[in-house]
Amino acid sequence: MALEHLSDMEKRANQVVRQHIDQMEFNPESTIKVARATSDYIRMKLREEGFLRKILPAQTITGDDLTKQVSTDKPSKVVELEPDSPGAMSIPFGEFPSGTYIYGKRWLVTFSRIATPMFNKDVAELHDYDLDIRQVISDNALKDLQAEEDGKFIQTINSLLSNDTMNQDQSVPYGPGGAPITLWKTLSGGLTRENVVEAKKLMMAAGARLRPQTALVNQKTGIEFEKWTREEVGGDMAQNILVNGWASEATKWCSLNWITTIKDDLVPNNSMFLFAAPEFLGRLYFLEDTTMFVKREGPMLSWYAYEMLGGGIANAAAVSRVDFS
Amino acid sequence: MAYKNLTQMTANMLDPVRGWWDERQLSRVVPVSGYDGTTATAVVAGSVGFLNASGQFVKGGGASARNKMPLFARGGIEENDAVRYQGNLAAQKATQVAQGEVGISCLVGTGAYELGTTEYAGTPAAGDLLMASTAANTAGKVATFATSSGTSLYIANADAAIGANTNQVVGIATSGVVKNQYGVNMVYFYVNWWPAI
Repeated sequence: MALEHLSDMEKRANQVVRQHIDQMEFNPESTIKVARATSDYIRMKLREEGFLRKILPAQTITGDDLTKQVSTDKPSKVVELEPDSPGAMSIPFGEFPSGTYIYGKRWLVTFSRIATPMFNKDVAELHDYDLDIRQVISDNALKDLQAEEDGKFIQTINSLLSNDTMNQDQSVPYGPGGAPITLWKTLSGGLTRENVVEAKKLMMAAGARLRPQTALVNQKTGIEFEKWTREEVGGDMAQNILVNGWASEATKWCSLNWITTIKDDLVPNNSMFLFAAPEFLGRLYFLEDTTMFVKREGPMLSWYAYEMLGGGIANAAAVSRVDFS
Repeated sequence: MAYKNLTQMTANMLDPVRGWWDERQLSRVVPVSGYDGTTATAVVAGSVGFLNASGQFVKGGGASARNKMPLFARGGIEENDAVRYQGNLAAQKATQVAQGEVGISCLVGTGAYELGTTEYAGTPAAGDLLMASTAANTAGKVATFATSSGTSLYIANADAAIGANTNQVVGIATSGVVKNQYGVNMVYFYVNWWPAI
């Protein structure tokens, strides 16, 4: 989605809010128009700026896709995971392979609703702001939703990688010898070319031997690449990076797709998260797409945004983290 | 041949029969203190507890609960919208609790609610004052002052000279033990908080 289009959506949302905000009390159609315009804008912006959705492509599902359970009516979905195989064997003539009975692993996806606080404001006071009304209404909601989506994702990753007590089962990555391994390491020497290669090798040490496809760093870490010299980068790339900046030059860097974020509270300085291709990593389901609820009662305007999502990391061997010290 | 019973979603519940829901409802989402992913440390729907200094739900009564606002758990910590199964995103970033749960939805003990709960001890009757049981085997259940399953006295009555109101009340029963529509025994009560001053 082009940024110009996003800008158009922002202008349109602002126009709709301005046009209908005073009519909402008398005309339900105006309420629907305001809710729809702000919902569309937030949805698009979340897709553009949140890193969770860039790493795990979102799939919209409906109630028909859920898996019913006896013990609860709270939504859940059972996802089948690819079964492991004990491997082939060499056998003498006149011998037969030993048998193994096949079972499949399944992963339970639970769903939770994210909602912003319910914002309340007297319309008269809202008109007293110079900044556009749409910005007041939807940008706070957007920031809150994004922080929660991406925050949950990073918390899940950190929890998996630190092998905490909630994850001491099949989600712990195993090395080829069967022993649990840690895919979260500190590499000394800073963000050097050698260390980036070592970071990429970390995921390959797990039994699944997956290759990282995407890297996530914060913008301060990413800008460290601009210190790389011609000796490390080669060709004219070093000059281009110096002139234009790393972010605009390096869409593909060290054979990885890079995502940079401003959220250094979630992705710390000098940390890099690496992800295998989404099909090996996990799932992201939306049972309710982002929706803005807007209501006017007399002079009071109330609004909040909500969405319902589930999923996460199905394969702990498909994510790794390196802290450069 | 013996039958094995399936655990139904109706086994533990808090049924808000009056006063719920509303977008302005007095409720709170809190993580559970001491929950380590085991059922033994879990809190089920209908339990009574209080908010500790860390902003977490502590099940039951006891001296540390004295004059703390009671909370009634509307859902359990091991239900799908609270607990996080491996790899799932259900954890809440904002709470950042070590266990990673979202937290349970609780109705606050000063709210204007009539509630039904499966979590009770003894045989309360309509009109009885209900407290949070302090007995270890009935922690998280509402009980009358002295039930067969243990006292619900919050602290020893050290202030006997003053006498009255040394025990914290969390509700007033509006029914005895009755079966609900699912065949599960419940006790219904008005939420009513009397601090043990």
